[in-house]
Amino acid sequence: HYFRYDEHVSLCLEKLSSSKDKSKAVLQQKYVRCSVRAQIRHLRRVLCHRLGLSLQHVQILFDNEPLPDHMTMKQLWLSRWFGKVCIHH
Amino acid sequence: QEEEEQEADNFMFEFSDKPLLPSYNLQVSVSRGPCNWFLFSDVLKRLKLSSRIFQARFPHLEVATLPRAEFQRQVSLSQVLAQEEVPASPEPAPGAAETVELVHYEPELLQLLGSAVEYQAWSS
Repeated sequence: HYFRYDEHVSLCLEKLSSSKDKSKAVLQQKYVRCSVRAQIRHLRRVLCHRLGLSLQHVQILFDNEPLPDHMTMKQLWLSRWFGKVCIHH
Repeated sequence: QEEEEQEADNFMFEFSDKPLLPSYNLQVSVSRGPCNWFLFSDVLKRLKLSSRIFQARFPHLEVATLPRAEFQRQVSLSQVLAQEEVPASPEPAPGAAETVELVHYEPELLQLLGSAVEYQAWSS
């Protein structure tokens, strides 16, 4: 696959806050860069690993809408263009 | 070598608490496919180092040069670079260098810049 030579996308992840739950894991390093061929499921797995959470507790949203696991970063970028990606767990 | 190939086959994720320096997917010579680079000046500014000190301290990190017009041509073809990330002015200011200096995007450099690196297998 040789993903290392791929073009990159940069993301900024914002935690979707709910006022009820203050005990949520904190995402310190919210700026993320990866291959345009990486999929939402890869990002979810990396975030789970970093946050010490199980997969069902991490969702990646855009405009409050969960993103499909098999969407690539390029598809995300081209279809939603400028904006923020949110994570919710 | 084997380890390198394994890493090439995984997705690399870079995480940072600071906004990331832009990286550019560029072909710097005909004998080599496109790969990712930072502007050397961006890296030096972030690390607060001079070019001379950087190259003395990290001689194994690859630095390359590309004509400015060629850099701008390749960058303008990108579908995923936001236009504000494309360095401005197709006509360089009088006296500005005709070339841009680049430094190769690789895990060791990312760590110097304060980023964390994680791998994720495609098939996972």
